[in-house]
Amino acid sequence: MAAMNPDEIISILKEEIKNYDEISKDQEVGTVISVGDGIATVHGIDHAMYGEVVTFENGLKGMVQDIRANSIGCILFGKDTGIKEGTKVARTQKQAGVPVGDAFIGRIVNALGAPIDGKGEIKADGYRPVENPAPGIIDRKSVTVPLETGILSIDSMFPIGRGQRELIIGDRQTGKTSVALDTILNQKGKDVICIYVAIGQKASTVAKIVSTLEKHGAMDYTTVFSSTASDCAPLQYIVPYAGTALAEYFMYKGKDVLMVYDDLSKHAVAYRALSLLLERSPGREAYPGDVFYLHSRLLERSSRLNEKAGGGSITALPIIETQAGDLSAYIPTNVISITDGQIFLESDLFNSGMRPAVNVGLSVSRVGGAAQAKAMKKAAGSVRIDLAQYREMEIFTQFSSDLDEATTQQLKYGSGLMELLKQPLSSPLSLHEQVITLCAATHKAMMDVETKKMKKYQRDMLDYFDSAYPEIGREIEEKRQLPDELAEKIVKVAEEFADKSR
Amino acid sequence: MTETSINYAKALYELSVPEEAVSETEKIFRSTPQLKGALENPLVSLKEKEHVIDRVFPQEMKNFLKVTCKYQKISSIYDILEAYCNYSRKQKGILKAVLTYVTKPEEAQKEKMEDFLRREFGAKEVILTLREDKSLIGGFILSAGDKEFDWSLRGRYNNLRQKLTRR
Repeated sequence: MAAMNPDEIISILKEEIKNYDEISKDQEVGTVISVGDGIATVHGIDHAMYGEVVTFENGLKGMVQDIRANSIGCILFGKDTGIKEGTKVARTQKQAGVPVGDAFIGRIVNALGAPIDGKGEIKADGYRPVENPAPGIIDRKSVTVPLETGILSIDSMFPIGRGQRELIIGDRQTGKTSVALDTILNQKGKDVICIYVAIGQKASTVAKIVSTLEKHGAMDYTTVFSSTASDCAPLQYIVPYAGTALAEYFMYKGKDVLMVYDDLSKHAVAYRALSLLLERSPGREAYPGDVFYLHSRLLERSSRLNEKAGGGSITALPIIETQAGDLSAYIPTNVISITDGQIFLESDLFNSGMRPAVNVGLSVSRVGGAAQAKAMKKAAGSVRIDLAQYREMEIFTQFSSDLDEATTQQLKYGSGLMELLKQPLSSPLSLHEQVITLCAATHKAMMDVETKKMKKYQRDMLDYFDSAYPEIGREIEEKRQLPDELAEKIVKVAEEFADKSR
Repeated sequence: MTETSINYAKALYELSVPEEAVSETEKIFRSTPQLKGALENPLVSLKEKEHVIDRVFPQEMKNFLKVTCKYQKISSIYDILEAYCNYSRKQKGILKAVLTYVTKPEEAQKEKMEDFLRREFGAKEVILTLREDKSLIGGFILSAGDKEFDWSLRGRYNNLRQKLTRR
């Protein structure tokens, strides 16, 4: 905001005060009985609705979360300092909601939609409830358009479609956030609005993510919702719903939206804290009985609408952090069963240098296949099986001395493929680059390359394709198909490049 | 106030015990706190308790108190009596309201307010409690039930401050 001189400020204040003529209406008022840990118990306001926003005397807002016979439990959206026994609480008769609008793109906001990036006020075009019912059956359409992540291993084997919910799951430090961030970076120029929701993260981590996004020009189409670890549990609980409310605003306008929830295990922990303080009975792992509903109602809001309903989509990439690779813990199993597939990242793979550390055996995409480009489907057809065979045979590499020729070849081919699936951070591959790489590799045109030099060879080969035969790439991008002649041509050029570089 | 005490209070109201007897009972309980202790003590036999009740309490309340003793609900007797007052007020259409003021209202103003409350809440009678509070700066706050009509300077000042500092 431009600097204002004191006179201006005073005149604005005077004007505000002069125009202030709010005649106080009657209000339904209750009093606080007890307060603590972000929860206030209120006596009175007997008619308050579940989920209604209430305001405290000092202007703090809260939400009704628990209605008992003679009292009401409210969660507080902020610090509870200044709230004591006897503080008055008034009803607002409104459901909790956030302001929404096109101006939110490129901004960083808190759980209630207020800007926290110091770039001034955000002009809102509307107000949407935080808890909104998911689109019904009639409004939906099946997933057919791909959402390209730019990551070869994901796009080839576990394709994601617009409107799908694909879980990213793995231990700490396995590159979960990186996969999601790379996906956001790859949406540049693809007419997809991205919303990154940080739940219970360190503020420093969020700052780092924002700077990465800014560096690659991704903030032009991204909104960041942030509720850091220092925010109270109610804010952490509400933030993914608030982010989804903004996403829905765009979806009903016909836009495609990519949501990243980072991460839902912390969200469940925040909700557990809330529920225990509200005296709901704890269940497995001390989570309340409705944690499943907590996540299912959130992720159910991701969908692809048909043209009649607006025609947009929300693709969700929830992230879950497991403890020591335990997929059978409570929250991971819940979210796995809710989503349409998962990308499982493994620390062993990560540490052995396989990055992104996607576990090919345990990852799956249940609906993305329908959305995958024909060209990619054809090029990647055999990759999964080849890799499975390679993994089965990998044990034999220890007895490498006496292996027959066929097995040696198979092992070499497999290790080459594994090498190709490695991909450094923030370097997404476009569709034609992925198709050419896979086509050349599966037709064994890259068998003679040393494993160590594979990545450089791949880059050089793709550059050679783009400079010498740009029409191949163009055809793939335009028609998104891979007829046999084109495949043959790719293999021929790849062999030609192999001869040249020898 | 628990559901149980409300149910006991309703039963007491429907017994059509004269109100004087009920207030007399409360007075007895308040004046001798040991009485409640003795009546809720499980070591004292029911017979002895009944004996005490017969000797101490007004005729109309005896049966009610005996039943309450029998089901060991004497511990919440104050709750029951309070619920009784609320319930009987509600049944008779009496509204309890509090007026917090800075300058004492004139008789005509008070009457008008009572009129307003009668209209607003559909009550037959209004019991207006007056309470002085200089911290309001000016104006008054009228509250009845869960509703509050804030016409005080402090309330308006608070609202203005929240409006100006709101993000």
